[in-house]
This record gives sequence, structure tokens and C-alpha cells, in this order.
Amino acid sequence: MSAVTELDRSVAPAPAALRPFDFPDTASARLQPGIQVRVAPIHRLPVVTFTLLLPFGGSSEPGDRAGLASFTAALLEAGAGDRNAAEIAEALESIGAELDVGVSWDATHAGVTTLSSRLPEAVGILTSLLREPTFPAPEIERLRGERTAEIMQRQTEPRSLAGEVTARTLYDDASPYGRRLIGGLDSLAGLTRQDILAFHGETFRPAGATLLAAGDVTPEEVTALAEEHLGGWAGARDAGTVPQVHARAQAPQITLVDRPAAAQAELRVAHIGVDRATPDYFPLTVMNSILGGSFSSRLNLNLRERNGYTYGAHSGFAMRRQPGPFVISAAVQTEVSAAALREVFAEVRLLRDQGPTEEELTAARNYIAGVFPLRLQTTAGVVSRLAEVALYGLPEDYLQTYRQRVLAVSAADVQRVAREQVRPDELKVIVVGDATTIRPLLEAEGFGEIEIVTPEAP
Amino acid sequence: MRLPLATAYNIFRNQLPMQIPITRFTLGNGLRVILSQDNSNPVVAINLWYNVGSRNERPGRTGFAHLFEHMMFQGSEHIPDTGHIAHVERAGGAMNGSTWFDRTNYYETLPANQLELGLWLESDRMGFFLPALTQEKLDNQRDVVKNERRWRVDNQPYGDWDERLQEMLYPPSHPYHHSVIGSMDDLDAATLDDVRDFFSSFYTPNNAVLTLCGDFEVARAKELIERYFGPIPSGPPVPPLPGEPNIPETLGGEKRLEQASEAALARVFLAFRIPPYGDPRFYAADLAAHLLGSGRASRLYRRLVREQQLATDVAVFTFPLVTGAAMFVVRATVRPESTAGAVERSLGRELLRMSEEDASSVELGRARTSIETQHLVSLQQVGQRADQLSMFATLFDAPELINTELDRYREVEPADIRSFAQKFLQPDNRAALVYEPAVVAVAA
Repeated sequence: MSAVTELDRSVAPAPAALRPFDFPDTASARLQPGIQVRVAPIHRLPVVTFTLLLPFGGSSEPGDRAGLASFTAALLEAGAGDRNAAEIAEALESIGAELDVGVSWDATHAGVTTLSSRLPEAVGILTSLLREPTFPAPEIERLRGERTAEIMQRQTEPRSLAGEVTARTLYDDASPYGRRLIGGLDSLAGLTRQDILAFHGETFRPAGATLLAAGDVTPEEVTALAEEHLGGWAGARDAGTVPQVHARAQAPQITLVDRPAAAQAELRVAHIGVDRATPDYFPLTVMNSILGGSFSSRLNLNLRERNGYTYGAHSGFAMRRQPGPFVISAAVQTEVSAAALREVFAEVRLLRDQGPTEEELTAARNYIAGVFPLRLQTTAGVVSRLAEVALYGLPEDYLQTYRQRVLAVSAADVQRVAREQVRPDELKVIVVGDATTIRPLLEAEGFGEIEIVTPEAP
Repeated sequence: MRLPLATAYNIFRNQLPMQIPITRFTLGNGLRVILSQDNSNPVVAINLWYNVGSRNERPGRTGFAHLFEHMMFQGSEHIPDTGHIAHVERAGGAMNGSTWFDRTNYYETLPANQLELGLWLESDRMGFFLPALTQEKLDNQRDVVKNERRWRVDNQPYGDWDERLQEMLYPPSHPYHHSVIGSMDDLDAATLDDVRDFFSSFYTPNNAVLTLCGDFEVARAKELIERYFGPIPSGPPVPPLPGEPNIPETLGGEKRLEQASEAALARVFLAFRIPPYGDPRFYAADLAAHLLGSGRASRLYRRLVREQQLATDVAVFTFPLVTGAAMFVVRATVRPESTAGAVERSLGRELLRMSEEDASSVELGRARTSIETQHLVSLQQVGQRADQLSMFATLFDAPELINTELDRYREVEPADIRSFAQKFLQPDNRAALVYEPAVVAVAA
């Protein structure tokens, strides 16, 4: 045995033989009303996640009704069938079911995670919320008040503020992605119960929906539950027109959001990125991991480990049905705002000009391929991966071949997508911080035109 | 594959206690080891708890345990600066660490075939940390941590709430009087000698627990652990806690702080000193917190958010701390058209009701079901399981509590919750912290 040999600590131990990992087998079916079903039976613990995914979200709402999709979804638990809000909450808690309702730009999902023995009851409650919400008027007013308060609150939170200003800087006023998912003060004030009923009636429809389940359950059980609770649910959603997103024509090079005496500066460096259907998904994922998508990324090692400017620097592509933002972010000490931005641009140019090192490439590929199974330890994690496949029409074997495709990315691929998809001349800078200190620093660095704005709800 | 957990699964379906398998042993140098095999996924979690946290910091060095944790990622004798994380990421794993009042943990989840790599990395910084230490690394991580403090606390509305509550609930002589993140001045004052002393005092095998959870064979894991950790020499006895950990069970009078805030909304915190984690009354406290503020069926959500519409959100939670006394915290954010005073009065009435009436068996049953399900759902991840095993071993020398802790909740009767509330959820055991907006936010 190796234990008797002298231990040489100067060399990293070699890995043992790789143990196979397979994405859990999934079964597919199609229900009568047009619902696609995907089930991943995993019988490790008596836990199930059961989720209905609807292919519409914030992008589908009329422009003058910003926030409607999110508002409607949030009200599902405010009353449904013959239960009021308190009765719904009690019914879910009494069986230990955790309700998860969410809205993104592209989709709405409503699901439960619960003990497998309580799944039938949980599905009964969940489907009641989806099919027969009552939208009580007092609950509408309550939520309107809470959302209004949240919008005000976000103007005082530097990270939320930086995100909102970044979206508005990149996209024009007619683009959904430039707005908030929860809407604005004006649009919220104008939402009526009629709007909510109409939106629910048009969009909470079985055609195009996907039912996803993972955990201690069989495909037969899922199908039987769906037939019992979703049978007779009819209708197709009017596809409508989803507004196209467009870049803002004349955005300043630098937007400086003034928070006098702020303790730190929130930096964002961003331009519009790519949509989820991009053929370069895997090269972009590896490239981003090297640039700012992992602890060992260039941006983090530079800004944090070399310079101590920040607690962490990150980059990422938000890939949606239409091109979402590509954003580099870091919260830095006020005095180094300009120096940090200089380093960000230098790292971007370096990766474009010289590509990754072989060592970086190997590390990034292994990291992304290796952590893939870690997110599949929970039933909710498996469902969210299945949802991604369903929502974006990814290939049937997408999850099974994910790791091979990551490992196949080359250095040339990485450099090509860095050049094509990270464009220094188009990157806009958003800084949320103390303008009096930061402005001269930026001017000295010669970054370009600066527009100073004060935080306020638009 | 459904190996050891298959047992848990079948048993749980019959509503009997679940069983996470546990093998435990202690190395000659005092390192306590917990192994929990589960071959259902080809991943392994490695988790180390060092029995040291912000409570061990001496005066003038607040924030030091956390700064030290950062230094543990700056390389050791055989591993270069930031090499620990680089090795783990390159192997397809994820790694981090965290510092808390009572402990500091370090953990990674790796593909199962990289177990030995993880043990090499963790043993190198336990046994060979000091040779790699430099002033430059300390200065760099001091800057990083100061930026972490700005990010978490100073540039965040209400960011100092925990510091303010700790100052009110614990006297200056108590190890919980100061925050984990510490003060800028104390971070500036930290020296290389402090780092060396801290390492030699607390980062010893006899002051740590190592847990492995996931896809490995027990015999092979034991052999590797002995090989990598066995040669590390045992350290001296751990220094006693500074200050005076023993304090009266209750405050003996209300404390109050009103603070101007840059946030748009007022926020109210009511915090109470409660029995430490592990005391049977702590479980009554945790159930009370659940009844009051966990989820939308809870009393405060229904009353203040849904019915009275005084608050936009409420939360109630306990800090499971073991040194002298733990903390019970009630938080509510005030709607713009309401006032902090109205919210505080309404919170007060609900807290009072807790000590006047027994919770119904239906309400208590719901809370227990919910806690049990959350526990099970959290155990799906090997990293979570490993962390809980390390916790129970470190705090109570009893990793098997992972399988029985739910019984502690089942044993709590409605009368236990009421008598807890009668003693602890009272105005004379309360620290109130109110943030009031300094300026009215622009609306429109």
C-alpha cells in the first residue's frame, strides 16, 4: 500500500480513477391538453420537486403595464378556489410543502418541494393556485403598496441601483430588459384587477406549458396527478408579440450615480451580450470563467488578490430569449474607482489579444464540467436544469452531453468569442458612489464623457 | 445506487427517525474525524471546523478570526498563494470558508476521485501554514477584508444591525459583544505576530473536526486521513475564552437605540437574550421564532403584513450560539404610510400573546412538519450534511445529533413555548433598534 512510502507533500496527489456521473434518466410524456411532462426519478431521499413552467414572463407584458407578469404571479397565493391567503399558507405548511413561484423575463414557474408522501395534496394546492386564483381586491392593494415601497427602497441600495441604472443605460425605453421586472411607480399605480384577470386568462394556459418533476416519484405517478388536477384545463395562449430589445442610441460612456459620502463605489462595466440560443454557449461559458466567472479568474485575481481593491470581481452573460446584458461588476474602495476600471479594461484587452493560457483553459473547462453535478444534488437543482432545456428548446441530449461539450472548447474558441462578444469600445461604465471624489479620478484617467445622475425612482 | 441512504429513505417513509451513517475516530494528535459514506453521487464533501471564532478575539483585535480565515487561502508551505482554490477549481470542485461567533469552517466539494487532493490541501494549511506567511499577503487580505466590511456593512442600508444588537445584548466583557467582521481600526492594527500566535493557539489538530461525506470507501479514507493529517503535531491546550462568557440569563432592563438611516423605509429590530444552543429551552425558542415569523402562515406575517399592512416584510430567527447566551431576533420593515412606533406596538402585542396563550396543537404541528421537511431537504447536499456533522461534533462532541435533533423539537410542548416567552420575550429582556429614514425618498 502507498501508506508505507514517504509522503511527498510538494506534489499534488494524482486523481484516482474517474467515477462515472450520469444525469438522472428522464422520462417524457405529453398530456392531453398539450402539456409536456419531464420526470427525473431520483429515489435517494423522500423528497420531490414538482413545477409547472409557463413560457411567458416579463417580456410578454404590455409596455405600459410593466410589472404585470410579476404582480400576477405574486398574487396566486393570495387566494384560490375556496381558500383565502391564510388558508393557502396553512395548507402548504401543514404538509411541509415549500411553494416557489417566480417570474423572469422569459418564463413564469410555480412549484412545490415536499415530502413524497405529501405530493398529492401539494399538487392539489399548487394547481388550484394556477387554475383558479381569486385575486382579492384588498390583496391587490396590499401588494401594490409593498411593491411601491420596494421600488423606493431600491433607490437607496447601491447594488440594486447599479443593476437598474445598468439596464437603463444599455436598453432603450421600449425594451423590456431596460425596465424593472416589478415595474415602475407609474405602471404599478395604473394596474387594475381587470388587467390582472386578463393577463392570467391569456397566459396561464396549458398549451406550451411544461410539467417538471424530480425526486422520489415515478413518471406514472406524475402523469396520474397531472391528469387528476390538470385535466380539463384548456386553452392556448395567444402568442402575441414580444417587443424586440434595442440598444439605447445615445448612452453616455460613463454614468456616475451620486451617493454623497458613500463608503464604497459599485462599478459595472457592460454592454448587450448574446441570447440563449447562441451557438457559442460553451466557448462563452469557458471564456467567462477565465475572465471573471470563478475565484481564480483574471479579474478576481487582479482586483482582489493582487490589488486588494475589492472583496470580489465578477463577470457574466445573462442569456435570455433575446440578448441580455454582459456585465462585469465589483464594489471597490472609492479612491481606487478609476484604477480599478483601468485594470478591468486591461484584462479585457489582454484576453482578446492573447487568448487564454493552456493552464487556464484546462482549469476552466475542468471547473465548469466538475461543478455541474454539484448543482444536481437537490431535486430543485435538477428541475431548474430541466426547465432550462424546456424553455430554450435545447437538444434532448443537452444535459447528458454537457460535460463533453465543455471539455471540447479550445483556446482558439475562447479567444474568438472574447474578441466577438466582449467589445471594449462598446462597454459602458456605471459607477454608484460619491461623485465629488470619483469624478476627478475618472476625468484624470480620461475615460470619456461622464453623466452625473442622482438616484430617484423613474 | 442507493447505498447507505436507502436505509434512511425506507425508515423515514415509516415516520421513524432517519439515519445518516456515521463512523468516528480520533487521530493520535487529537484530530476528531467523522466519516459518512454515501455512494449515490460521485462527489465528496470535505469539511473542517476549527473551534475558534470571533468569540476568541482579544480586545483590540475584533475581526481577526475572519481576517485569519482569509489568510488560510493565501498558500502554505507546499501550495502557492491562492493555490488552494486554484487546485480545487482545476479539479472540478468548489471551495470556501466562513467565520462565525463560535467557529471557523473550511470546506470543499470535489469529484469523488479527487478526495486525496482535498486532504492534501487541507492538511498542508493545518500543518505547514506559517512558512508561507508574508507581510505582503497580510496587507493584501487586510484590504480585501476592509472592502468586505464596506460591502456588507458600511455601504449597505441597515448594514450594521447585528453590530448594534450585539453591543446591546452582551456586555463589553462578553465575547459576543463585538461583530464577526470587526472594526476598521482593529483590522488596521493586526500584525504578522498576531497571525502566528492565532495559528499556533487555535489551528491545531486537537482543536478541529474533519468530516468527509459522500462517495468514498471508509477503509481507504481512514488510511488517507492518517497519512495526511497523522504526522501533524498536536498543539498546546487551547487558551480560555477572553472576557466573561457567563452572563445573567436575561438583560434585566430594556435597551434602545434609534438611528438615522439612508434607507427609504424605517426598520425595527427587537432582539432578546435567550438560552444557548443545546439548552432544551433553545428548541422552544426556535419553535416560537417559527410560529411568529417563518413563512406566510406565521403570526407576524399574517398580522402585520397581510392584515394590518403596517410592514412590508417580517422575519424572526434565532442565532444558535453556545457561549453563555444566544440571540432571538425579530425584524420588520415599515411601510411608508406607517410608522416604526405602530409596528413596534403591534409586534409587542403578538409577543405578549405568545406568553399569555398556548399555541394550538394544529399550529405547533404545522411548524414541526415544516422544520422536519426543511431539515430533510437541506440534507440532500453532501456539503450540508458534512457541515452539520462537523457542527454537532464541534459544539457537542456528538455528531449523531444529526439523526436525533428533530426529536428535540418533537419534545417541546405548548406550555414550554409559553414559559419560554414568559421569561425571555419580555420588554426587560429586549434590545430595540429602530432605523428611521434620514431623508424622504423621491417618489416619482
